[in-house]
Amino acid sequence: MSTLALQHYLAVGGIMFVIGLIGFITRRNLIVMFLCTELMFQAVAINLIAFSRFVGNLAGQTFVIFLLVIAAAEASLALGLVVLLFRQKNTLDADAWRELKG
Amino acid sequence: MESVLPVWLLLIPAAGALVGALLPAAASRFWALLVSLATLAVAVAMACRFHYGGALMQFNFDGFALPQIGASFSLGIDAIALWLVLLTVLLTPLSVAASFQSIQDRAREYYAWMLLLLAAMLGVFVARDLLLFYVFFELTLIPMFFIIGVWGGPERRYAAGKFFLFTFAGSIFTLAGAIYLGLHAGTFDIRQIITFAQNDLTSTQRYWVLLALLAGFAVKVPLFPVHTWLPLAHTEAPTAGSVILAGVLLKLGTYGLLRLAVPIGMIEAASGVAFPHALRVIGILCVVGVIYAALVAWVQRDIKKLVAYSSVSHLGFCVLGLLALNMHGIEGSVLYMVNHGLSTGAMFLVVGMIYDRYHTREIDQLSGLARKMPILAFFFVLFSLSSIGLPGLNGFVSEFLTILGAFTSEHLGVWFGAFAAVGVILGALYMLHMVACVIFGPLKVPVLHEDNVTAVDESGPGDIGGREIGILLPLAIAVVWLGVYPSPVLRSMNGAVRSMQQPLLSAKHTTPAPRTMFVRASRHVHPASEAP
Amino acid sequence: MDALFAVKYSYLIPLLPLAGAAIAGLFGARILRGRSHWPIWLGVGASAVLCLSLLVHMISLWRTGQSQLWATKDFYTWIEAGQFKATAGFFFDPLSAVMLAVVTGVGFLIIVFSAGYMKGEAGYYRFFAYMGLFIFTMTTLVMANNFLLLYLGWEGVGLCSYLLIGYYYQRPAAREAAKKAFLVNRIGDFGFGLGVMLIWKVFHTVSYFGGDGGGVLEMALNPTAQQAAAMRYIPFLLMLGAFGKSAQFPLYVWLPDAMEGPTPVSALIHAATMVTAGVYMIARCSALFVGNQAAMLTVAAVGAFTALLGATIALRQFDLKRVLAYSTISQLGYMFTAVGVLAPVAGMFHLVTHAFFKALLFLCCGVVMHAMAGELDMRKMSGVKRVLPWTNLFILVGCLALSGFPFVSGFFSKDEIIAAALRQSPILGGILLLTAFLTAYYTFRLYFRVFQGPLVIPQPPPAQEHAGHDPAHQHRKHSHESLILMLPLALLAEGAILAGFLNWPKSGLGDFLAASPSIAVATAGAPAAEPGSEPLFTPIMGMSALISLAGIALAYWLHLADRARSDRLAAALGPLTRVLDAKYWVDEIYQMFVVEPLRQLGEVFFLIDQLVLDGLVALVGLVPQLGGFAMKLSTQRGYLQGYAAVMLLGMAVILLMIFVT
Repeated sequence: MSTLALQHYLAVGGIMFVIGLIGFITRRNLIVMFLCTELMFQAVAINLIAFSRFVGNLAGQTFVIFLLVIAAAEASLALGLVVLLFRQKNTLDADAWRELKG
Repeated sequence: MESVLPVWLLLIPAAGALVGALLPAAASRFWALLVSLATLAVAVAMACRFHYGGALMQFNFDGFALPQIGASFSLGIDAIALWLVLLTVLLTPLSVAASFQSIQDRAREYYAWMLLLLAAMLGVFVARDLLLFYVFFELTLIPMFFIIGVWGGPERRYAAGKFFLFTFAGSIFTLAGAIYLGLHAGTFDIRQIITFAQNDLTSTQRYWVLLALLAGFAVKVPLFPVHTWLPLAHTEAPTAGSVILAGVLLKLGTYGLLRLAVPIGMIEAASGVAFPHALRVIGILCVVGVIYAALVAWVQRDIKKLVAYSSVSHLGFCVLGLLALNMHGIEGSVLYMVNHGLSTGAMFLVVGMIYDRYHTREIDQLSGLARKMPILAFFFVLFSLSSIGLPGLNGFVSEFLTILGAFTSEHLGVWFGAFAAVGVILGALYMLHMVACVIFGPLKVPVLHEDNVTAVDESGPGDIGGREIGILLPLAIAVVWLGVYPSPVLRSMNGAVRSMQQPLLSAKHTTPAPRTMFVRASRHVHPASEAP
Repeated sequence: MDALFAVKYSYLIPLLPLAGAAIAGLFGARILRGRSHWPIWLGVGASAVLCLSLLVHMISLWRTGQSQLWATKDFYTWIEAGQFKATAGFFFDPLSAVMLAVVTGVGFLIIVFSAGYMKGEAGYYRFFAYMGLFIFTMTTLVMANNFLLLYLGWEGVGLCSYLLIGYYYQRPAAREAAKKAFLVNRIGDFGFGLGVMLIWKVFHTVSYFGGDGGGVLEMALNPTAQQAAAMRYIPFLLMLGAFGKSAQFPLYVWLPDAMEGPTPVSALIHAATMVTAGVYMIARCSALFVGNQAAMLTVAAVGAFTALLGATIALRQFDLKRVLAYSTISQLGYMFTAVGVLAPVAGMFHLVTHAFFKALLFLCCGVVMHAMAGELDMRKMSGVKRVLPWTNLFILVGCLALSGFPFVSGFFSKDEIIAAALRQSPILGGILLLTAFLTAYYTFRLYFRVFQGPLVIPQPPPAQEHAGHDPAHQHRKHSHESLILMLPLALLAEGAILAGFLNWPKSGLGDFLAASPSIAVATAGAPAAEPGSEPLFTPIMGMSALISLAGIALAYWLHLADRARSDRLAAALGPLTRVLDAKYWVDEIYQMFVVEPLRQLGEVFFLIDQLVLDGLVALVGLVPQLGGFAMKLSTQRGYLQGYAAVMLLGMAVILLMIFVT
């Protein structure tokens, strides 16, 4: 059994991204959709760290730190919004907001 | 001559707009007046220190540059722009003062937009860079869009949208022409672009560039048949909006034509094949517009709409003077821009004062106001006469020169002048029709339901007061002064207008009859190094 | 010439009345009130003194035999653009001196009269401010030394005429009349303006005389071939302006309506001064007209035709002022005939005498109107001489002068014109002789009906007050002939009698005027010798004296001896009477064939504006709107997942493209 190579990390990242993507497209629940976007986010972060580790410079890891901070900020905002949306219509179904046509 | 004055000219109103947006509503109107007066002071200082008959471009300011695309934040002013700047800074404080009573809700935003509009309009006139010119040109749309759309009449949304879309659609052509020129010339400096276009473009290239510029500016002017946005925008806009719209914004179109299309057109009209025909077609459009709009104005029932159509008719003269491509035509046309701004702006102010009192602009509902408001009647008649083009008042000088320009032009000819002159008769027709209906005749005003049973005769709103006289008086003085003694203004423009013809002169130099009147020859000199 | 006091300070001639007008206008409403006539009296009076001194000095210079009797003086550059240049400057010669003396002299008398006549009117100050403004513009017109400044005066007097006709602005009739006057004049001015442009195009200057041969009127005498070709059209364009201002066919329709203004206005503007501007202008531009047979013939023919037309309409008018208005049109026709047959001296002579007697007639009418409580219908009054003995005397003088009674002023001036016309063509002369007969008839018809016969004074119901008049004023029955009214009348009457002797053969007005460079050109080109030594002169004199007496006799027979006789005659000539009563339906024809079609055109254009032009724009706007609608249906449905799927698809396509290429 050889050591873990770059492609293993990339595979994990890719699988996580696809799971997030499929989840985002197929689920209607706003919170679950939000979780899926987070999943995709973290998949990209794993890729970045892996590249950083194997290429041998710190740029990728620095990026991930930023990414985490932004993700945290975004999570707090998004969850707040979701709560507000829920209060409006008493449902978490994304299709309830079709009239926004965004 | 380096100077930061043009920067102040832009910075004061722009910063004033930002500060004004934060002030309490009650203070904002005085703040706006103060800022616009400060801008006026800067402009007057420029006019006083302007070296008439000196260098073409003065008060040059070269800010940051974008060498990658050849654009730069370069400002400067010549005699033509100077008069239009003065017109702008004169009209803005007056229209701010005219809004004191009529604008009550969201006053803070309103005055902020007015100041921003002032900055944008001045930017157009002082820009020496084509890209900068275009940015300011479009920037004027945004404040005006809000002024019409928020503080306008019942159909304000539609009018604002139509205004925006029409003029914006037009400017796409302008932008295309400008970018084409800029990319080929490798710079966006207006003077270099013009020289480049005059000398180094092929005739076909020049023809299409000219058409693009004409198409763009024609909407803004507005020329028949793309004028339909104007009556609506004028009718729906608040008084100050109409004043600025008629007084300055329409002039941006003619100013653009003058700055870009006229110098290139001079070469093309002299040497090209297709362009002289196009010139005549546009000339015909102008003349048709003059007569058409005059007749339409005659049958209007709404005073503001009548004045709006009169603007369409008048701007036809203005463009005709430019198309004449001779000195008296062009100078007359520039003077026309100033004069039309004064008299039509004043007309809208007076109509606004009537509207403030009776809340109607219907000709049928008003009559014999001279009985009740003799001072207002005096100003109304004075500005109407100025608009009619009565000799001794400002309108005549420019109207005569533009028609004379068309009459003696080698590209247009006597028939253009003759038919345009028919518009002068019709101008008197619709204006006097309005004066006869509104000012003369037996007194009739709408009964104001708020005060219910007021006897029409003695009570009700009275004549205009000190503030309103103070607004109209500067315009009246300017109207008389420019009618009696316009020659300093005209003379100051000689250099600037002559410089447009210079490449033409060098092109003609091979022919044995050079005109002796062109003495300056500095077309390869960079404008910045032109200081005396 | 330049050293003359009046020339040196010539800018005061227009500016003093203007200053008076400004003072009256600014302070009249609140401070001066009933004293508003003072600034105008002083301004116009001083200006009249200057003008008379100019005339007297010029005459004395002329008597000493000075060769150059003209001067031109520029004050500042008015308009300068490119090669175009027009100055604000004045020109002095015998022609302008005579004209100035008439304008300010007669003007001053009328303004003095007005102070009595307009007393108690609402807007008293306004009236005098307008009058001052009028003298300013009229003197500018006369003194201008170039065509553009002339144009300023030309339109300026039109404006004053507009303002003064509309003086009783609350009356719709006055308002419409004012508008009509301005617009009809504008049509004339359109021609005039184009004429000025053509002048500049041909000669590259608008100055009359440069002194060095560089003026329009100098160059016009020796044009280059190229100039001569283009020059042919100039007189026709200028003529249009003259026809408008001087109320000649077909542009005369505004003058009768202009009688809506106060009577002194009719006297000053619509009889004595402004309407003669056309005659003055053509006399001034003789250099452009001589040598242009077609233009001269047109002027003469239009003048003669208008003379006859005006006289025939006047036959059946019953409004005092309208009779005089049509008579003015007719008399102006005489003057045009005179300048058209190259006798500008006779034309100017008639202009001077006409100014006196027509102003006198109008002012007398004004007195009658006051005494009759605003009534002007001559069918409702008779024998007025018993109430207005002085006025009776003065109006008799005026009527005699107008009808060409021997040895009263109109007799001399009219005869010179008829003689000159006969020299040119017997048809023109014949028309003028016929007109002279009609003139004598309608003048004395007015006089006999109103002043002679049994006393009848209209008693209007109190509701029918003359608008704008102070009601208290109308009840002062016995002060209708106050001194302030009678003194100007007396002076004018004196002028109406004596003005005829101004041109007594040998070294009279004619020779003095001939020293003007403008007139000299025309008299040099005239077919016959000076009027004084003319063989036809004496027979013509006798003939026209007879004609005038015949006209007066006919008027006596029909309108004093037995007034019913005139009604029987009118009934017997039924169709003719109808045509004259309807004034040949000219106003109706204009309304139907010019005004209404234009109005309809305006309405149609407005519809086009709203439907066609806006419709096209809406159509253009519809295309992106439709596109947007289609997009909305297809892609913008609001399903979040749908958007994500499309995004995914897009990403897939992009990746595919990257990997495949």
